[in-house]
Amino acid sequence: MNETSGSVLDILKSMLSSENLSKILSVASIVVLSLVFVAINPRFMVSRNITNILNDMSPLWVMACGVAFVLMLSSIDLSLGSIASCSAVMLTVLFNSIGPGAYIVVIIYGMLAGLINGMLHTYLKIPSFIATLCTQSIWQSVALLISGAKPLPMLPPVWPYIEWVKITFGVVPILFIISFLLMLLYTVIQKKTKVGRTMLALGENESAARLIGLNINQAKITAFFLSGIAASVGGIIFAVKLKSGIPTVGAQYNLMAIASAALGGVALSGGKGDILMTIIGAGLIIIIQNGMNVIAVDGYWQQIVFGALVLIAIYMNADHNRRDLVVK
Amino acid sequence: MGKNILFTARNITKKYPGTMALKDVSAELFSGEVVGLVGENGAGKSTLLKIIMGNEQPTEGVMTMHGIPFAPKTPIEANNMGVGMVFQEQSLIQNLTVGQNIFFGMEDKYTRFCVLNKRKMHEDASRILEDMRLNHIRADRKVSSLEFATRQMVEICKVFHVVKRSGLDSCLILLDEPTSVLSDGEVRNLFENIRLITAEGHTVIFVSHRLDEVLEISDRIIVFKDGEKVDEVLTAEADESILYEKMVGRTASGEYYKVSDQVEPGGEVLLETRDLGRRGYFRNVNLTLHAGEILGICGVVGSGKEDLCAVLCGDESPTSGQLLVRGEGKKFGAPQAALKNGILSIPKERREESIIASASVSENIAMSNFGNISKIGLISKKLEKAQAENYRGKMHIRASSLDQKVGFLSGGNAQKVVFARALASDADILILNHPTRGVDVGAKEEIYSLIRSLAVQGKGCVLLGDTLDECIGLSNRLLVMKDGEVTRECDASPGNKPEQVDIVKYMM
Repeated sequence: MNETSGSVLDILKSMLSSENLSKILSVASIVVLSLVFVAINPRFMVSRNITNILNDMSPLWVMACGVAFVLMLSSIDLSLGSIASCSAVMLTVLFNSIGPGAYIVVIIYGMLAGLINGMLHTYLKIPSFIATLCTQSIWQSVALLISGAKPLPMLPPVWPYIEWVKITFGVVPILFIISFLLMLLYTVIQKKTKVGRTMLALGENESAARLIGLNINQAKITAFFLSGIAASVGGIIFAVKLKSGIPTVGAQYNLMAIASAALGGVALSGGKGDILMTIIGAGLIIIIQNGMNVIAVDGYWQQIVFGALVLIAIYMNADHNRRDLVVK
Repeated sequence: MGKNILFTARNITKKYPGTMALKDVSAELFSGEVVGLVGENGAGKSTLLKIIMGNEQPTEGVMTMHGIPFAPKTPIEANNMGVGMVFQEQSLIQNLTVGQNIFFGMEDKYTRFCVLNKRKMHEDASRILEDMRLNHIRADRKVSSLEFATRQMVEICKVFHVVKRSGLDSCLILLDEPTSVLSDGEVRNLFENIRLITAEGHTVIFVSHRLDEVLEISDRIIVFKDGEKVDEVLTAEADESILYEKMVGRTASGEYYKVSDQVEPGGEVLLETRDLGRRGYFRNVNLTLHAGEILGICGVVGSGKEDLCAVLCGDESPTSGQLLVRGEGKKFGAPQAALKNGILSIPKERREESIIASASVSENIAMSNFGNISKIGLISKKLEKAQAENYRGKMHIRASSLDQKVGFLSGGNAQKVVFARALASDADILILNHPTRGVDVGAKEEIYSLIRSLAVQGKGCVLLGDTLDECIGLSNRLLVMKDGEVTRECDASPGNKPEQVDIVKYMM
């Protein structure tokens, strides 16, 4: 009797080890919060709202998958929000001139923006914090310039290009399926390719990764590249969902995407994380946001909640035995 | 000058995980004498100095200073008790002037209304420099604009000043390899200053690899080997050959290093260098490494052997000469490029340079060659596991499972993982940089067998041994380096192994 309770305790203890703590707490919070929101407003759980939540989650989840790679290197990407804004605006404008080909052009833009971040960081040896802070400012301004600093509506002639957005499979909207497919692709890259392994290794111990003979620069650039693609896909989702290109639509998503990755167990000190788990973080954040809307919490208060959430998530994932805390 | 006891150490022991840095060391120092410490790298000299300075705490043992118990926790506590040290790596602040460095931490005297009177500080500093006959150094120059050797003299001057200023009758000054960058003239000057301050009753501990200097300046010499104090001799009764013999001690039997398994190298030349050099580190190195050969490189710290290794494995670039792999000239931009040419290093600092602590055993083994475990470009978990299982059996890696993180393995097992990775990499030129560092005795023997089997398979190894004995025992041929140059090359085939004493002569 005692033995079994002892082993159950051990299992609980190992589950609660710092490594899994944030993931378990996130899942628990999702369950608890959902119950709380349902208790306050039963409409939270209707299928219409679930579809809403999954739709809202899609751009955040996509961007979290991308930035997770960068965070695993112990670097940071602050530009993904404005790359997303810029993508949304570009898609809206390009629909008018080149039609559906705009999707491809925008994704190519995301690739280039990511490559630029990666090359600034590796070849010019600019810390990623500074490099992406600057590109953030640049892409934000480009988005404002293209759009004339106002939201651009998608006019009826281009509606056929975004008709597909309305497709749902039961309660699951197609945008969520797209996010899921991108996550799958990114998981394969992380777990099954040399470059994915290199990213984790160099996040943990860069000098060892170098001496082992791994291609450090390639891995760093790839991480920013994947983050750039994810940001542009996020921007596309914003645009087709809202039927307009809003030049500041991605701004607040920087913090939320980093928070999603951290809540899903990616350590900002690098070397630790799992792309798959970003769903927990993105889910939690959107449920909190949606729930706060459903129970009518003021929008400014919501931002305070998110700020606090990021701090808690990062604290839980930090390796507290480490003396230094470096963001490269 | 009376024979007052200034400092005593009783049964000082220092354990690090996996190794004993100091074993039961006791010593007495008298006022006004110069004591030389000699021993090979890793013999425990630096550890003892760090303990006296409060940088490290002894695991066991007690010290006294001026007859009262002395257990400094920080260098500042040690300073207050009249102990000062010149570190092997310089500790001056580069962007301050010479004067500001000398009075660092004592600016109160020159401060009025929070403003520093630099002119007065520099005048006083000039006087201190003059006292030490260093008139040519200007007190208002920035340290960063001085030559390395001059900086060393400033540092020594600063420590002498701190000690004199403490006002104690006798102080203890620790000099850790102070002469390695100094010119002959500067060494003369340093010795004069040492004599001056010892005449005032202060005591100096002098550590150097240059035995002639130790013999010249010290009154007594303490010899260390493998963390133990093996002897204490009066300088008048010692000469270089006596010291050499005491330093190297016993030689392990050939069986220990599996000399019977040593193979005759094949004819194929894997690696060759022609007048290879890296400015400021080493120059004109010519070596050839054949298939199946273990080429040992001996030398003290700073002899350039580590830097040579870094160049061979692509971590640093040479500034002159040529590097040929299988007869073709190559230039490596990074270790990755060296690996493509079949060169991989097993670095010295395992935790910092060779293992990915948060990755599993099987992931670590796979890291230098993904080709073995990939199908159509994607990693197969099954192949990865099978490869790791294979090496775990062959090399007796003790891990609870192959998914265990390497950071939790013991030093010996982690090193076996590193070797497994090297084997899996298919590299045929291995740079073994202290392959048995921090590894327990049992694992050491297994690693020796492994290195022998590498040679049997026709791989070429460049070896930097953890001890000189190990380097001689394992190698087919030896290169001895000193001050960045190869001073001797000799054969070390079975039955023809040179004595340690013969090698040490060319190292120091």
